Amino acid sequence: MRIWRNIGTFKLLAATIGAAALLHGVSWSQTSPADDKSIPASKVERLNRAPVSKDILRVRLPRPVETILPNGINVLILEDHRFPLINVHFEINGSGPIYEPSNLPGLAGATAQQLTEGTKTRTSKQIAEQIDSLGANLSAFAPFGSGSTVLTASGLSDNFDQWFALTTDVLLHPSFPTDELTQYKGRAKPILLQQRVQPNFLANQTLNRVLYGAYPAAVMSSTPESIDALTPAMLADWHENRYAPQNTILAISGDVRVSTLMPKLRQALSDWQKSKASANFPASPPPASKTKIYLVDRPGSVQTTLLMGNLAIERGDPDYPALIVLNEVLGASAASRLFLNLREEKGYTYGVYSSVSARKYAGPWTAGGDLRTEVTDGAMTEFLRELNRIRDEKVPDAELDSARRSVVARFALSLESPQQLIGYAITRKSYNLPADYWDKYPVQIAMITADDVQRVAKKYVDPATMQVVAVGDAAKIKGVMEKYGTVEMVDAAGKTAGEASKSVGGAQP
Amino acid sequence: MAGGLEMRRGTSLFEGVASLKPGQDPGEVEKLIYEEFDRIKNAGVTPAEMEKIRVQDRLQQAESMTSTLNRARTLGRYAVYFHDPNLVNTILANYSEVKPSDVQRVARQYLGETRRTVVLTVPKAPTPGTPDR
Repeated sequence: MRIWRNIGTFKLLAATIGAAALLHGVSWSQTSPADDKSIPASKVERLNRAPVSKDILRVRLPRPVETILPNGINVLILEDHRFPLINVHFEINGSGPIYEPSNLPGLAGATAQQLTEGTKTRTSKQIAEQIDSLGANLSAFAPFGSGSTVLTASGLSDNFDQWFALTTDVLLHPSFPTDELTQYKGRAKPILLQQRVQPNFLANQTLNRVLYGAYPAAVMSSTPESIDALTPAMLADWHENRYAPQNTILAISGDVRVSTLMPKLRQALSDWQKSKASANFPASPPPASKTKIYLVDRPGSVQTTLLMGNLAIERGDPDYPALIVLNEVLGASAASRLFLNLREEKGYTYGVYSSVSARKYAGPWTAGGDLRTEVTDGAMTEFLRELNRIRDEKVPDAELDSARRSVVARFALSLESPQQLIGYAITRKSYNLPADYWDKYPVQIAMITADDVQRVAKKYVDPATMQVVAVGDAAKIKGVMEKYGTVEMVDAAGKTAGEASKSVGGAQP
Repeated sequence: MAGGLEMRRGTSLFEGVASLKPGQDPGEVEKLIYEEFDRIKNAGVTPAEMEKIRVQDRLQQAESMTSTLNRARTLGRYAVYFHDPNLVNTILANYSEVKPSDVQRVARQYLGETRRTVVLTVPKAPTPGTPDR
């Protein structure tokens, strides 16, 4: 056990250790295909003799107490007295990047980040020192693609009153000091440059732009111009108009008593006035109807990053459980088809995965990974093979059973964490899911049949309509990619050649 | 920057790691770190600093205990390292007996100039044509 302590502003150590472990894994796995002595996956006979319970998990999650304060805040409180800890989570809907004006991407994120950099009665330094000496954590963020800002705080239950007072102070009385915003801009711009040399970011940015078009979820980062344009007054306006109690969920879990907590909440939050801000989402755009290939040139790149997908469903869609099982079979883990085929059998990659994202607007299914440049063609062939196989053939019973069990087992293990429990309650509330949604979730997953998986595969996962992004050395892979569809070149800002020339005239994209 | 020591049965290392922004002088940072060592050796630590550490330890202990796997791991480690799995219940009380004078004493004993190894990892000079960091 390492007893590390942060003694400065950078929390780099955990990241460093993680990266070291990952790098170790990379170097090990990349040498293995060359001198591979393992048995190809197709030669492995799976006897399935591990003693596995066939029972379906029955759970009843603890239900939070739910109340609405006079100013409209939805309060969820989950008492959990096993540990002397409390978690506080404000989900401020209607204030996320989805609602940003198109010329100011990053406004919501900057506002969130600057909440903790000064209030009417505390400087940035005082906030940091007080939080530190209380042993608490306090942070706010508004990630791209999200409709909300999240402010979270956690700490010990015996000094809760002190750190909760700090939390509500930054939420309700931020002062957005000019010098702090200037520093923020100085940090944000190099991050933009760093993002644009990372193939994964470039792939995601491009896929997002082509799938969402003019829909605000297309935006994945600020621009140098939008960072320059930010002023303290813009942040204060965003806070004033967009942080609305009637759109907010406040979830508190841990060592609290509802009876003593409620009067504190009423008192601390009563000054927060309702506003006219709406938290409605624009209607989801339709999925793409014809495959196209987008190529981002990274000269000299030794890998091709492939990412393909198309828009699928919103979170409340009844097809959600079937798509989750499909994803588990296809590419969610190292036991899924894509990984077993492209890594274990072919040795093309360190790892390939698929994902399904579903929010208040339609999210995409995606599949992809980093492939050695010279096997880009082979990898495309295998991706297509697996995408077609899950549409054309029913998933065999044993494989389906194992996929369903993995999903349920992961859910079961997650229930030990008090934070995860309240997280499930927030999801249920945010998406208006039924009160017993999570109790029934394991059964819903366990009831998914091979027919269900094939039906949603045919409905959503279609190689004839998916959009494909390749980030790599265009001189080596452009010809390869042209075998799979019309290729359009995209620059590091995610713009196609046509868009880039238009914006030279000074017009905002 | 961050620092700390690894819990071991045998001799452990006390380590500190600093990652510098581009353009900063490693020698200057190293000097500042030694000045902080000297401050503890000469002036000791304040009761407020001790209290902060205790609060942070309590939070860290409670958070790590929320995971079943971590509880098992911690019990196992205490049993193997110290023949005392019950440390899981008593370790915070042990820490609370540490006085500011103890901290000053071990700083003087272990953070001396002749006991340390310093590793500097410096990036290669950038090749022309690559984007600025």
